[in-house]
Amino acid sequence: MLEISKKVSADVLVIGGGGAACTAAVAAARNGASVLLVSKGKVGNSGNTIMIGGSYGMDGESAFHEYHIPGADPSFTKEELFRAIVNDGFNISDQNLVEQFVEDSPRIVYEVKEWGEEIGERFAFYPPSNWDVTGRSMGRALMNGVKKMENVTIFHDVIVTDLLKSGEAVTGALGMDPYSGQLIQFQAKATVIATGGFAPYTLKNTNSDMTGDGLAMAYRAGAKLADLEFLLFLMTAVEPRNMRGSILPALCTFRSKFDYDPVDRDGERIKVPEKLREMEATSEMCKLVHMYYFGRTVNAGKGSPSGGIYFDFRRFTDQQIDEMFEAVMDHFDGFYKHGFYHGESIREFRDLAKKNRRIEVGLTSEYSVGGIFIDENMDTGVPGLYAAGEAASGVFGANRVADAVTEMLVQGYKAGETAARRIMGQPMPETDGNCVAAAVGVLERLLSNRDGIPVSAAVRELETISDTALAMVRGEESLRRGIQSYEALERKLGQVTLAGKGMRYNRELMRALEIRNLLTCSKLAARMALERRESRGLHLREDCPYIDNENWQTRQLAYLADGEDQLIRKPPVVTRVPPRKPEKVDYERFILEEDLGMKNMEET
Amino acid sequence: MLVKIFRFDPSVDCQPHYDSYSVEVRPEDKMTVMELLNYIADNLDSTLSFFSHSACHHGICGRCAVKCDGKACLACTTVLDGEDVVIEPLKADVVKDLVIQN
Ligand SMILES: Cc1cc2nc3c(=O)[nH]c(=O)nc-3n(C[C@H](O)[C@H](O)[C@H](O)COP(=O)(O)OP(=O)(O)OC[C@H]3O[C@@H](n4cnc5c(N)ncnc54)[C@H](O)[C@@H]3O)c2cc1C
Repeated sequence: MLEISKKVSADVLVIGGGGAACTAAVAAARNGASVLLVSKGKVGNSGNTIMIGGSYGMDGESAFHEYHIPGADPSFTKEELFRAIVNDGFNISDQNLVEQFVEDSPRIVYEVKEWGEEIGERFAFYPPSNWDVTGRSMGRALMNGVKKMENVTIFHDVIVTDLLKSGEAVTGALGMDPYSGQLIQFQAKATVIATGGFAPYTLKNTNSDMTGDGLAMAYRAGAKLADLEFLLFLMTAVEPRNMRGSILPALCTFRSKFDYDPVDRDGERIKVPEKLREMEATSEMCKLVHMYYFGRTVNAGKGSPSGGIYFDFRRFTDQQIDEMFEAVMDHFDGFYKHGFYHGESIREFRDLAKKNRRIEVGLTSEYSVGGIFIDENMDTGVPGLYAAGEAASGVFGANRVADAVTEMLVQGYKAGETAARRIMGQPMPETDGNCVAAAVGVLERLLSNRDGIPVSAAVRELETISDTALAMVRGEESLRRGIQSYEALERKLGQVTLAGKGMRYNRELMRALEIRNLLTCSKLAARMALERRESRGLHLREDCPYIDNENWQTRQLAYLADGEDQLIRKPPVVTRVPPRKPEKVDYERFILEEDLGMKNMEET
Repeated sequence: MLVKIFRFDPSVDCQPHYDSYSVEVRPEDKMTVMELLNYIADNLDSTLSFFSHSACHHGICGRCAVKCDGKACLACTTVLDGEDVVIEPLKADVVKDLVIQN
């Protein structure tokens, strides 16, 4: 029998330790609430926040007129930012959320930069209104902001396993300290989920805590999940093997001096229209172009062994290759030790390119566009429950081109503010004892299961199913089979068996908890992908190569009813940009002809 | 190569001990210590504990540090050369196996 070792309570509980959680905690505290900030990793040193490899920003008007930033370009207006988000999101953004993103972001984006600069972190401005920054600097800046608040109590390294409720309302959560194995019951008048996204594939370029915990917990507690079929792929290292999972290959392609020929496993060049190749140095839209063209290569059985492609350098001399990588190294100078990107040696990558003239590159998801359904106040619709950042959904529609970093800051702040204001003067709710027992029961069952599959086998199986079912380019058959496989795995997971039964840093227990959540997200993503019989944004269907604006200019939501997943469609909220004409449009023609992509990439 | 790993669960063991695992690793594989630990946990002994609950894998968070042959290193960026190796926790105050509270 497991017991609760400790109970703690405060006005607002914030779950997470990245940008969305930190800004939520600050905003709630500023609005008079006492706050518990509970994070699986260390606050300010966990989540995808510390993985940041590029930049983020605001609109140029605000940067120029309100913050008087030298070099800011006011012609990148709020209006343009708004339209770009909706257009590049293939018209299914909830525009009330885009409104909130555009209007509220300048203040918090600027403030976080100040938190960072105050402690000597580097935020390098480039026009129209962006800053290059490293994930570590962002993490430290956020921590500096949180430390300024007196009434925020931090719990580093506590894994929240489930939300707790009383009737319909969320009244806190159950946490587990992985080091001691102790269970902590958190009690709060309002709870903010800021736990980041989910990464379902074998190849990962994210922090290891991207297992969709917050999404699945919210779903179990009655919240709706939306748009899970949209996963943003990025070219990711698979060799040299010690760099596996680094997004260095993608970042190389963003430099205009960098060039390569994309080739398949037979060494044949993969044809990508020149106009679209050029996007690599000018627009984040290139991520979508890679998915479209390279996804097809992989489906045709011509992908690399890791399900990716190759960068081919045979056309270039050693000197040319040196020059290309020099440009990459120059870009990162001042952010990392010269010649490095995070812990990875750019020289080692270059030397492999020179030696083999060919580098295998994988493709995997960096960001989940979908997540918990929220309104413009970050309200999930479940009383007492809010969500923000990558864990939430709705701003970016079917494709993200604007900054996820801005999203986490602006939504986190709003969630904290709303939560604190709404609970003022309310009494502390009681949590239903049965609900606590059920949450503890999940852990007890995992520890007492016998003769089921081992956790590592379950993890491997889940990731393998996702690799095929949720591939860059999807199809009816593979999705159907994938869903069946997820369901079969779900049944086996009921008996998943751990070899170690102790509570001190039990990795198997932690992974068993994670995989339960990741399975919920992955299965729903596949369900939504199967339903959506069209191609839109980051969801590409081989069997439906058109954008169906007649039937599918709509979001998809899932919720639990009597233990069963229910899927519904919801037209996006429109405030400014009208929907597209109700017709079918060829996907490739659309991305070739439409003026997509935000004008916010750095001149290189 | 032979991998010797420090094992200790203070809640049940009176004494730490070492377990040895034989794993095929060539220098050209460029396998990291973190990958090796994952390999052992996934295939040879799932009860092995090492830092993994919020790991960046790219030398950013700095939390996966262990001692390899007595030298402190980050498990995620340290590449194995195929020679036998002894892996131990960074500090004496062990939570379990290679995990310390840092
Ligand atoms: C390699 C990489 C590079 C990127 N580069 C950029 C970039 O240049 N620009 C950009 O705009 N975006 C970028 N992104 C995306 C962006 O970093 C993320 O979308 C954003 O940081 C998410 O912030 P968040 O606060 O919502 O979640 P995260 O930063 O992911 O934080 C989630 C937090 O929740 C905690 N948590 C998770 N589960 C639990 C649980 N069960 N209990 C308690 N706590 C939990 C985690 O420990 C973590 O602290 C990048 C992403 C990746 C992977």
